[in-house]
Amino acid sequence: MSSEVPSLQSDSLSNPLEHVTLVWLSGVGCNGCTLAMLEASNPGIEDLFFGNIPDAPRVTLIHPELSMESGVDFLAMLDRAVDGRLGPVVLVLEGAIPEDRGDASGAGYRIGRGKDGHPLSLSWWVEQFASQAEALIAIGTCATAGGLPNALGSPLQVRSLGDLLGPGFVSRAGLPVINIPGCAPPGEAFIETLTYLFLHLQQLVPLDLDDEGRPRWLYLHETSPLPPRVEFSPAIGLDLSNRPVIHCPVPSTGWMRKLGGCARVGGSCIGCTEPDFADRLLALARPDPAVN
Amino acid sequence: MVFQTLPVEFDGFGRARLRDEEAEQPYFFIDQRRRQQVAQFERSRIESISRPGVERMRVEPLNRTNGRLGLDLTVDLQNARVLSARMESVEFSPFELMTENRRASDAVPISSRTRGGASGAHAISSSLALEMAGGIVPPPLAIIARNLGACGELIADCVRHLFLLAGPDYAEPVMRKSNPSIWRRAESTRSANASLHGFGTIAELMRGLAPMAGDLSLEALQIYRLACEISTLVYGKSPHPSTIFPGGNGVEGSRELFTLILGRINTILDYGKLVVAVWDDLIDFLYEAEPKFERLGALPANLISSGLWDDPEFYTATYSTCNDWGARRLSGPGIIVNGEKRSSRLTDLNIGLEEFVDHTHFVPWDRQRFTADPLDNPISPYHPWNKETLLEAKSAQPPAADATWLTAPRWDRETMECGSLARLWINSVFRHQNCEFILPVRQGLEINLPKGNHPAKRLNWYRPDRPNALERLRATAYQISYAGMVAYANLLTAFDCLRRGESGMSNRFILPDRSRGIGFWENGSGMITHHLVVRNHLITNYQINGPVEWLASSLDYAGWPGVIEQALVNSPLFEETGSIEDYRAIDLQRVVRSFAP
Repeated sequence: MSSEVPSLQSDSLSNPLEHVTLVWLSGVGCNGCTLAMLEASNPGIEDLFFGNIPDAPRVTLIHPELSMESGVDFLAMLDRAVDGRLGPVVLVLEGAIPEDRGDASGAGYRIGRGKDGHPLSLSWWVEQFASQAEALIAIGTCATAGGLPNALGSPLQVRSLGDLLGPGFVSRAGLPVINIPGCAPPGEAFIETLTYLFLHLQQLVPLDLDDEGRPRWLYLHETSPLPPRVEFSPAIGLDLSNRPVIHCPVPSTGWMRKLGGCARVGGSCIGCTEPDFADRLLALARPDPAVN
Repeated sequence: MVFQTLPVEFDGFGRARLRDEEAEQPYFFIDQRRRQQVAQFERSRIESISRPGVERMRVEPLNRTNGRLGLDLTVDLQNARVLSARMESVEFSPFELMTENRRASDAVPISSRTRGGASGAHAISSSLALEMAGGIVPPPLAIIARNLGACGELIADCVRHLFLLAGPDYAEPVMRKSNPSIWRRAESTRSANASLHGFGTIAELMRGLAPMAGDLSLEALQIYRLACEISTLVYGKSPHPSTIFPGGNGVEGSRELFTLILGRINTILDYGKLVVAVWDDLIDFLYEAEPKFERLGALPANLISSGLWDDPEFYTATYSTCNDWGARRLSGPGIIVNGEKRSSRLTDLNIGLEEFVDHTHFVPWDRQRFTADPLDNPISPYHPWNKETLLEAKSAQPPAADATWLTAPRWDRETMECGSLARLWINSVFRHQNCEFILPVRQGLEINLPKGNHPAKRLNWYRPDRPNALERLRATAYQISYAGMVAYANLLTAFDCLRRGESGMSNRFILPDRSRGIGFWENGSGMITHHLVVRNHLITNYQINGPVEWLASSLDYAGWPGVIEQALVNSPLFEETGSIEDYRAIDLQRVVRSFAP
């Protein structure tokens, strides 16, 4: 930590930020990032709810898989969050943003309907929050780059959070879109970034993001696409020098609690953190030899 | 009789054939009985719809499910009846189309993305389909490792079902508001198993269920993570395994791996004793406080399971022997229609499958590539090996108002319920006994848990009269221990393998030129099948059916509603809500979530 950063012993009682509403929206994807988020512990998401983390605000979560409310009550909560009535908001987007066709089907992926019955698309909701949220986090490669729903053969037209908001976007707190790529990224990476974001908002530590909006210290580690550890493997004798570079925390941190971790334990690396995941990278990680 | 509606019968050797071999289009018919049922149902709905007190309402988004669902209801509040219920999914899953024209092995990482909570189950199902297509069997230890990863994921899924998705509907804040008289009774009712779980009254249990706040919920979160550690140890990561591929598993099958899993399973086996005590107390109390709970979400027993967890001694990957290895699964396959056993053969399960797109955003296909399975058993033009995933053209008319993004799968033209309750039920009535610690008995199942921090305990699961919302939750609680003992049995076999020096974890996977395959597997909410067709080493058709399709889909070709829709229409309404403005259909939300769709 650099010397300019104020000490963490600042008086928490005078924190400007005592409570944050975390609004979690989901688009085209598999909800796997939510499950990964729940896997993180020490701290876990519940520690944020209880306000157990020194200098971090107490968090209330609005989430389609975890909130008690459904239907009109859930939509009313989102409305209140958009209107600023729930205090400072941080938006988290999981999944890619589908094209808003505005037709009767709402192009699928609508989140409720307006008072006159017209579908409310995900992109509409994200735009509502874009000016209101202190910070916006894209979790998972679908949200950071389009991910698998953008790959070859998908009939969907999807955008990432960064694409929707445009290159010069900054949030109320002056931050670009924070990207936590991975399919899914480890929950620990998300909770860690969120905690750092809170400490940043309290002006206690800088949030160090790289050019792609990723928490720099987590995505420093380099690896390459690799097939799984297979007997008779094409990986045996594989020339690794010409492989694309993958930036990912997992080779260093494992998947959860230092366990697992893809190629670290014999699994494949399909390059799931990279913006051009999946087609080119998936092809470099096949377990079976090429035919002919 | 295996099939009542499909035009298929069996000869003296047990081979399936069409009843009328001359019939031109034997599968193009609407069952008369079904036509009458639909007409009668529509008549009574239309008659009552104009009555006073009838309200139309939408619950959308319907949160705390695995899918993205909305619920459209017509409710007669004065007579406490549900006149109609339509489920809609607003989520289109692109992964069937994305696997087409790709190298076959790419199907595993792509199809796993269908659903995060079932990603291991999808990856395994995809691997099984490819193993069948390629005729390749992984070494025993790799099959065991796969089973163990699946145990971890299934346990995590069940814990989430009970404490994050469906269970919170019975937590204090909801009960106090929706059923205040039951809540008052809960405050003065002692829990029978208080000595085990420590919650003196039912009200205390309900407080414990408050999501991410109550003690039960927070403990469940820790167990969820422990179960995820098990799947992570085998899968490399979870969700979305990086070690699973056809023919093996990339992780090293070392003593260390299995010892790390054993330590975690022991904790979960202790937890299994607790979680069953909690849900038994809660469910028994609810029946007593409000007998209408017996009918909440009740359905006739139409149950299907392909089973899961293969025995490495019997698993041969091929279709021609799938009835043999299927019968040896540690949770066995079976089909029950209207309470009666139909079959426990995987080939019957397969050839009875059909998928309908009539009330969806998909459009029908016009080819029938296959008229039979590889054993020459007839299959329908609507069978997943024939079905094609086709999207409506963009310029087409707006889709029908009742269209959904879920296709309607049927077996012998029946809607089928799947999940923990179906699995336990099927294992008891078909008397599958492939795990030494789990015994089918006349009234249900016995699960024998070893001593841990808590003394050894025999759990007795009793088959209910019929499926309902609470029994789905109870079965999910017992399923945790069931899966835990399956893991325990697999660990014992793993240590045996290592003692014998059988530590191989993969066999060479060779891409077939032309082939077909199916993967049968399950996650917490039910059956997952992957059907694939391979030509020139590429996938030309890939079809995925999971629990969300079986449970949360809507009308089929005959206008017959899906499983959850039927469960809603049959349900009593008994929440104590003052006014229509406050009415949130909590009873009905409980019904939907009991399935964890």
